[in-house]
Amino acid sequence: MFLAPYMLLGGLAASIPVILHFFYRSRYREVPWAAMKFLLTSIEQTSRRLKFQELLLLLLRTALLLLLALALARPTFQTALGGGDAVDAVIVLDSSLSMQARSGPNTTCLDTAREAARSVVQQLPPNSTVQILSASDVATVLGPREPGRLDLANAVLDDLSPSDRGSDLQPAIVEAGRLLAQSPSSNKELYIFSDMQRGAWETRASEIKAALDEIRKKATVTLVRCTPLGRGNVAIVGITPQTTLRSGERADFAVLVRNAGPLPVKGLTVTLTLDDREDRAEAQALAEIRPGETRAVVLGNRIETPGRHVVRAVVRPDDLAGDNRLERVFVVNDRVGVLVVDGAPDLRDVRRSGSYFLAHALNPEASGLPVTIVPVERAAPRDLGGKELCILVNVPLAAVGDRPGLSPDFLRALEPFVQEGKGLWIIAGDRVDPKLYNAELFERLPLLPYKLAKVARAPKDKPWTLDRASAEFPPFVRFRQEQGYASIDRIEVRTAMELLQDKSPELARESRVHLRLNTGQPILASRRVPGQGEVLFLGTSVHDEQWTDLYVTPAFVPFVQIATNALLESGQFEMNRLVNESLLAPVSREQAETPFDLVPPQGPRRRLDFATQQEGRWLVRADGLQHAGVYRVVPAGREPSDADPLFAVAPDTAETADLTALTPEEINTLLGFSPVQVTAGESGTFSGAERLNREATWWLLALLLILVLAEMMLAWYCGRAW
Amino acid sequence: MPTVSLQADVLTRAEALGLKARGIVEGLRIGEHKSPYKGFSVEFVQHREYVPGDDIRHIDWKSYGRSERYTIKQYEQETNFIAHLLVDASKSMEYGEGESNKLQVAKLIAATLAYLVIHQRDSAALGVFDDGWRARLPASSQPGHITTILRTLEEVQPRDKGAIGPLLSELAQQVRRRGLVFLISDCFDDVAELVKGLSHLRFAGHEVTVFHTLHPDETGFPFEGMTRFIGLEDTTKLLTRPNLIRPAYLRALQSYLDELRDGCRAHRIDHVAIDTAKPLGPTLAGWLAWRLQTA
Repeated sequence: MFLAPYMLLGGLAASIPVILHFFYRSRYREVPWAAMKFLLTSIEQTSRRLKFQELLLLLLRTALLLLLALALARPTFQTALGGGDAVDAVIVLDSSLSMQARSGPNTTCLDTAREAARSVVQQLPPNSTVQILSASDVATVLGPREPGRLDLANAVLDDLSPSDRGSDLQPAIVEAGRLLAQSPSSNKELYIFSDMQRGAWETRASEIKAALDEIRKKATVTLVRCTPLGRGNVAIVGITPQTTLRSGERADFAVLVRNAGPLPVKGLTVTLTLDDREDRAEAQALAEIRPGETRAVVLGNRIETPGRHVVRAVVRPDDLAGDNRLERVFVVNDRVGVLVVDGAPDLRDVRRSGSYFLAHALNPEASGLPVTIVPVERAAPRDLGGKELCILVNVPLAAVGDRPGLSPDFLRALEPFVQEGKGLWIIAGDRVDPKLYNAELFERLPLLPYKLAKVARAPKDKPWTLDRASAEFPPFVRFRQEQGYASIDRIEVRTAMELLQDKSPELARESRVHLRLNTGQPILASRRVPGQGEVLFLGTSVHDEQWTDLYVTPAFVPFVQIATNALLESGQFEMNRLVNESLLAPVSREQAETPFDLVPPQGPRRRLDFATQQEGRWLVRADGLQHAGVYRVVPAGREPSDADPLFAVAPDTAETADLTALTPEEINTLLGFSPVQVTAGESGTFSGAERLNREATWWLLALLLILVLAEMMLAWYCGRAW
Repeated sequence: MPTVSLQADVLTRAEALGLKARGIVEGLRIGEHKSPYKGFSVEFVQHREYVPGDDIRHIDWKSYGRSERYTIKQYEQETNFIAHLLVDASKSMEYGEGESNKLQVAKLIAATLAYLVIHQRDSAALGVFDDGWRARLPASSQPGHITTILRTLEEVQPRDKGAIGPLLSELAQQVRRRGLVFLISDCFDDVAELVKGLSHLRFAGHEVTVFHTLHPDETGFPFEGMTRFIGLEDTTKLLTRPNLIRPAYLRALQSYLDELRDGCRAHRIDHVAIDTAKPLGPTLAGWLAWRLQTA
């Protein structure tokens, strides 16, 4: 076996002495000579000897080059019993959220993996090297900086902290393969310490298989399983305000607790803290949560001031602490006003008006946002004064018969309203004329995200449903991510305004679809011109059961709240992020060349790149987050203040949604070969029996040196005259 | 046939050769060495009685005073000695560039000796050979004979393979009168044959001197690198690295030289080694001085 087989091509160089021999024989000078007699005599005496010497030198030189090529190809051989050369080892430690599962009374799976890795490092033969990678859904080479310093490797293991990210072993395995490919040793070993979570292997199974297939050709692959002690796991999957948040009043939040494990979990306590005020934390006990069940625990506290507030929910105890805590940032906008223009108010039965359901969703306890409702015929531009959000519910843009329409003055006032950075929400209904809307709000005023096509109706026996999996963009992406919104998929839509999703570059940049029906038809879309407010269009009704039952489902309130907050914050930035997302902090143009630091919830602050301009705003970007918690972006060297951009980063709870591990047999099947599989903590993690390869390069080089000396002596000897 | 212009060219070169030879001879006479040929003339044998018709100038009047009988002095030879200049013009004599060319040096030696001999009123004959006689000039002591010798020498071009021994034997049979024989050659021939030919000359009473012209390349074999040697007298071609075989070559050469010198010594033949790269004057002066001492 050769470590650098392509160097064998160098063996072709063995032909060089032969070529040179014939080349030099063909290059000679001619001398006319008189004393041929003596020349013949001398050649007769010496020619046999000279030819023999020449042949010997030629063979020796050819052998030298062949040997050199062989040595450079780095041949290895197997010793009879162990005692092989030093090892170049790469250790991949799964540091994902699931590795925070308890593996003992006071230890996690990561602790167990760390100890097992330390044991492997200690058992490496002298002159070995080791490189340690942490693996979540990204790979990070941790060191040590000098791979030969095994003592430093222990320090790296000590410093390894768990990540709150999901797990995907593919990047780490690929990186490990790259490191092993660079390794010069004949004994290469790859150790993967993981809880063997199904998702970590199966997400990109084919790529992992290909990478390990390549690695195992040159290295021993050992999988070290870190088994959690228990499997009871609950997670905080969401915090949802139950009311519109107003300063000076109590704010209640529904803390969504989900049992992600296969066993019931009993005796839990859920605690909610506002702005780190531990003295005012509110807690509630949960007797039991069954597997797969999501429970909403309503907890609250008084909000004293408007502005940003960090709400933290914690549940304990269970066997996996990483997803037991969630922080979210909420903005209290109690001084902003909302104008609802109702195109079809029912004065006799207000419950048949769209504005009725909207007002209650916006202001569930009649103590939320100040909502002003005006019928369409009375809507005037002055009504937009002092408002931050305008909602057009089933509004006709022109009078039809005795049905009034929106005044042209109000219509004209909408464009500057949005240009000022304020929000506009247009909700469809039977009074919405697609042609007129297209003419006024798409072609004349650039407000609608896409052109309206027509009103479409679902088959009576097979209504459409909302598809929360289609929610790709914030803030509605939480519909897809958070299990608490699972009921959205059951909301029926019978009638909807069809949107013509335009692929033009302008709309591709400004418009996006937030939610689709199960048919793929867009139902909720937005448009945001850089530097302006956002326009949201809902393609179905909020009061007509012939259209949908969205407005009578429990999801309607959070739906409206999210949409409202998104529109109110459209001029702001996304403060609630997932650990695997980027943080985008807006800064002023003047600060564009100022260096900023990221202050993480734990560990030292990190210097960020300079701000870049995106969609008309200057943004400082922070990537590669590892931990959930509250982050701040502050000017370099300054202490954080309340004015600095603030982010609440949630752990990747998708990671803990399925904690089942692959069995050794399943792993063998998935990989198509049988790597060494051991369990961390058990004796004989590694026996060393595989370290049999010895590299013959040095022996060959020594032989080469001897042959070179022999060649030099022979050349000297043959160069002597006879 | 040589053209007129070629003849003119030959003449010019012959004059140059003559000048060069004269220069050497003048150098020899001006120096301390005396000509070894001084005193070569006639030899008294006996008296005989005068008979009418004899030249009265030859009557020995001293004898008449003692015996009152008319007697006449009788000499064995009344003419000068003949020096036979034998020049090897075989192809092997072509080796060497410019003034170190062996044939050129041989011509110069022959011309120089011709000057010396004729200047002493002795006769000089010229023989140019390779494997046979290519040119022969009869002996003459006339001063104009030098010009003829020079022209003949200049017209000689190297050709064919040399075969010296048989020619010398042939010469020994043809020339009855004792004389001097100067063989100017590289002697690349069978040594036994060569010595045999030389011994025939000696048996015929000639004094024989061999001027052995060798180029320094032939005596030192200073070549380096891959070299292809092409035989001048045959078609043999040898590809070799001369530096590797130099000692073997020199050994073979030395063996040949030893054999030749031993053969010459055995027959009291003078062997004079001529290095064609060195000035000829000192070499000839040294040889003449040696002859003077040993005469």
